[in-house]
Amino acid sequence: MLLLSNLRIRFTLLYGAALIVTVLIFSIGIYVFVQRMLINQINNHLHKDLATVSGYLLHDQAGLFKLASMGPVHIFRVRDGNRDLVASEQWKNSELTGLLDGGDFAAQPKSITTPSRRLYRVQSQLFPLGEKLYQVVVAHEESNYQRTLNTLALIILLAFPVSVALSLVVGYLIAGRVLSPITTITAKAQEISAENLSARLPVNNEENEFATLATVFNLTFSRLEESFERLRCFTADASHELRTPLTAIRSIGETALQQQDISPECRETIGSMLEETDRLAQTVESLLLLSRADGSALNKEPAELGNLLADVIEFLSVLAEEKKQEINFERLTSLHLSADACMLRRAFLNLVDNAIKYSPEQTTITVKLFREADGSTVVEVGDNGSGIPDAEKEKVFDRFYRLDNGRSREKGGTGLGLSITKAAVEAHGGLVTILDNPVGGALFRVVFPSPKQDS
Amino acid sequence: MRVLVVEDERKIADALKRGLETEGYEVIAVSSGEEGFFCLNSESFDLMLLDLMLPGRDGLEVLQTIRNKGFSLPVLVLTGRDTVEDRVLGLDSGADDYLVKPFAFPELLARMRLLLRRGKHETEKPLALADLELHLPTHQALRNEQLLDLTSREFELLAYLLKHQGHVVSREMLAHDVWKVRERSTPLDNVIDVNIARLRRKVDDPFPLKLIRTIRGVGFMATASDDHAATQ
Repeated sequence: MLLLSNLRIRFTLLYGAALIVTVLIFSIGIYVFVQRMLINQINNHLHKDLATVSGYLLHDQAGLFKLASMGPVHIFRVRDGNRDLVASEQWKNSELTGLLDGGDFAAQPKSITTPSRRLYRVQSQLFPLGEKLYQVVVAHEESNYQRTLNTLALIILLAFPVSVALSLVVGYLIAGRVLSPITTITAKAQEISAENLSARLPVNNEENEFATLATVFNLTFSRLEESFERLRCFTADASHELRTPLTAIRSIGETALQQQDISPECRETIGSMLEETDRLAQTVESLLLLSRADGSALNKEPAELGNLLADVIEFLSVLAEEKKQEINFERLTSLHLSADACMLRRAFLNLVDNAIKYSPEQTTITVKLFREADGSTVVEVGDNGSGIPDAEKEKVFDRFYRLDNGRSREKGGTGLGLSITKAAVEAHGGLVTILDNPVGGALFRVVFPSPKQDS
Repeated sequence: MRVLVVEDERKIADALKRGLETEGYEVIAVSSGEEGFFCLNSESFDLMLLDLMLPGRDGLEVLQTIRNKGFSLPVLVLTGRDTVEDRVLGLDSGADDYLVKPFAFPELLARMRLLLRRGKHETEKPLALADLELHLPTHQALRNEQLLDLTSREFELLAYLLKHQGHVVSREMLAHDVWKVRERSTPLDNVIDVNIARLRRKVDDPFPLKLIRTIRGVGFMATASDDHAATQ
């Protein structure tokens, strides 16, 4: 889920970033365009003014003075050498006088800021008339235009964060919507692998990527279920097939032993063969039991874990007595569960039997049933044996795995005991792990999560 | 006593025939349900052993037909399938008892004896063997008039062996009938061995005549006979 929400945030950020860049380019473009347009406008004004003033200068000098006091051209000055011929009223108010007394300073339009921070755009031109050279300067106040530009910049600056924020929110919502099928698929897939492999993801009829994803997932589930089922069937079928020859060997051997006229050596031989047949039969039964646990084909009925443990301990106590061991059962809680009592009993039978087998004489084996703070129920079986090295801790649950080969075979068993324990516990929603017993030896810990999560 | 064996695995059928004949039964073995049905119609039998997995019509069908035709002889079903549903189905179809393959021959004999005795009110033999006596109501065991100190499990075990005295008792039988456990397992075998060893220590060790015998690969037997060969 964390990964998915990360994906959602990344999606949103990516979307936001793309939008920011787009808006930025767009805003700058508009600003530059407007600025240029305004400057061109001023330049055109200046050009026209220049034409008007020069027209009066060349053809109607009296009109020039009238123009200075009132007229369409507001700010201008005409100089004759170093002397002002005429300057409009507004020119006089514009503080430009001192600034523009140089020579031919503004053949092209040019922006000038006065000491009182007013902005003008000015252009000048020289006109030879007879002997004299007249200089005409026209100016336009640029501040108005600048205000327009500033307003535009303000609008852009204000709208920018708002639009970015808005786009992030919208992006987040869209990403959520787009990703929601993934959340659904993930949840459903998790359910399928945890509970039963036979369920499938819902595929809507739309021809989109998610339908494809769900279909691909379903195909994988099918294959997984198929191979799982095939393995389970193989174990079950093989076990059934093995039963017939085993029955034959057993019947033949046992009926042979009935006969009076066979030698003691022969009796020994047949007996020994029957013992091995019996072991083989038990291995086959164990494999069947495992395939039943794997297939979750359980005969569930109400059971209480404490009673089951007490029963197992009572059952095995005779083995402990033989080794002068004590079994200390701390029953601190109870757990009512729906269980295949036969299978679960077998799980703990193997654990306690192992503890007895691998603990030296005159030691104490501890079995503890208690509840954790998180509500899960725990069974711990601790022995006083030589313990299990960390590297072997996972392997001991493997089928036919034997820790310290020779020794454990001598003690009998099919090599399936702990794998049965693991399969049986897991078929009941539990988990079995091996820890080191604080007093030495191994500590098998079986955890059943709290029923709330179970249901 | 005539027994009809319906079993398609020839080797199993042969072994059953031989073993049952040694026990004094008269045995007819056939390999299909149709043949079995034919035999049943033409001759009379006291008991039928029926394998459920047969070629052609399977055992359950045969069983239902037999019951529908009104045959009431006891039927002991042999099955390779071992699930609760199969058992219920077998018993509902009219089987009197069932054994799961690979079964132990002594157990087959014990079940057959039980089925053949059913309905006949035999006076139960008092549980005694040589100088060993068991009082079931008080859970007391006496040997040579000395009270033996047995746990209740040991007493049950001894009583079971004595009930089947002269016959071999398999580990499966002990598991089912004394420990009431359905499935065998290595720990169970160890528990049985330890209990037998303890029982021997108390019942046999102090006395010259040994009563509890181990039949290697098969099981245990209570007998006073000194014959080394296991008589069943």
